[in-house]
Amino acid sequence: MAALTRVRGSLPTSERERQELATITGALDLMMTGDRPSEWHLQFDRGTLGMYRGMAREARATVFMDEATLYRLLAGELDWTTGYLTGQVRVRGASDFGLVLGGVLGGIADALSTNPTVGRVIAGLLLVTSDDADVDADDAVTNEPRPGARGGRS
Amino acid sequence: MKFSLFYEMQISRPTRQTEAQLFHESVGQIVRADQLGYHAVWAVEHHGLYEYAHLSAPETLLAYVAAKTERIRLGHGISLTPYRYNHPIRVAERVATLDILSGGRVDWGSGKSASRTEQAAFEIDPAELHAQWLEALEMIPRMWRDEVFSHKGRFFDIPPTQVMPRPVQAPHPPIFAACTRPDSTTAIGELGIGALNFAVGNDDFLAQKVGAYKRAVAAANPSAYHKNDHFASAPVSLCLSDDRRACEYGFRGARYFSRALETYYYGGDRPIGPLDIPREFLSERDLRAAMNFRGHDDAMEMIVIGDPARCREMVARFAAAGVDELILMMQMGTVPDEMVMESIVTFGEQVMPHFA
Repeated sequence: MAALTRVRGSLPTSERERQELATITGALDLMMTGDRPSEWHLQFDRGTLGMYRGMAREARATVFMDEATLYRLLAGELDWTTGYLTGQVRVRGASDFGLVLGGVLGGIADALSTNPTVGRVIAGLLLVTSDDADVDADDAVTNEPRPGARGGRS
Repeated sequence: MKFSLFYEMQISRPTRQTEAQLFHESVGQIVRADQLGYHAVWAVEHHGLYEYAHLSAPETLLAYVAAKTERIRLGHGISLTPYRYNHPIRVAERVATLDILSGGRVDWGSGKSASRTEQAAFEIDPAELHAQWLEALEMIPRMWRDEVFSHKGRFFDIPPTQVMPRPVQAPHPPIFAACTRPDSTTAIGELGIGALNFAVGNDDFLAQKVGAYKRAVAAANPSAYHKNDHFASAPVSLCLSDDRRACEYGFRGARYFSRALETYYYGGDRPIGPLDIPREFLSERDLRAAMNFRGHDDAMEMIVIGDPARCREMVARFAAAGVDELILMMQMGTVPDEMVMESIVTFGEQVMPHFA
């Protein structure tokens, strides 16, 4: 499975984070709103994390944000909690599960600051809204909808 | 709807002096809350969570508070019952003693701890936490109920023993447990005990959790203790007459609270020393957005922040979801004592009466 797992493995995550990731199972929809909307879902499966175009068949939660908010989160200009409190990040469904994305983005923000190359690749995965995006992300993400996923825009 | 206060003894950049000051100031706040008719004060037990929770000996704080107050209930919650934290017999003895000295004012909550910081400090295997908590939960009420207690289980083999003293409340103080996720909240209901639930999620999410809990607790038939059908929710709160001022300090406090919690519960390995979290006020842009987002359908049920009118609106949402008790977290690390006190008075005089 081409997924974020390999990239995640190179992040400066702690053993605790790896243990926690290993306990998480389920799908999380990510709806990018704004001028260039797109639909994604993250699939957590006991230690692996994949990111796919389109919405999952049975997501436990859906996170909504626009591209500008994502940029601010990744740049460290906005923290997840403030995004949550201000409505710039919105979660429907199992809100506690939606918070998992905050941890993932936190890891990416750390990677951006400590390992820009890895960070840019991962950030690119979340920012790909058209097939001509200039990030080399294909080796780490499946751009085709997963079997069973509802169709998304690209 | 009942209204209570929640204390972690949270403090930003503590010194020995400010840490000691915090405890005395908090007692003053609780005494004022007692005069205003608040239902309970809930005191946590945490260990080593620097800047997030300096309250490690709630039994001592609550005994002191009991002597200073008349009627406010003493929420001993949660006490950590995996036996390396507290042996179940010691928990039963301490809670019963507090119940006697307070004239039967104890509500007892139990839990198992979720932070690796605490588990590692007490050399506890996380894989055994739940089983240890569950066994202690079944044992402690029997110590209060039975003249002679004995037990043979996975972790304990206790011969016939007289556990003393017995609590004033018969058969025992109301029992609660901490829970946040929907599955753990339902599990608490199935055990037939009250739920102490962090307020995370929007209206629908909270209403679903309350509904699932109420259905589960209605079907519960515990044999070791008296059933407690009570759902409490704990939002961060600040209620001041000036809405903007309440939001400036309240949202800064909410962010401090949440980020500190995330650091210990969802972050990396066991942080030591000052936390790397923001302590400044929200930017004007973020503050305005946060103020405007209150009351939105997607807004999280994690805050009761604003002037009395705004707070009444937010409390009404908890009431509509079926919450029995709001445990207000006004004591946040960046909110000064005089502002917590002002909030306790403003809320007590201008919000609570509307939900009597």
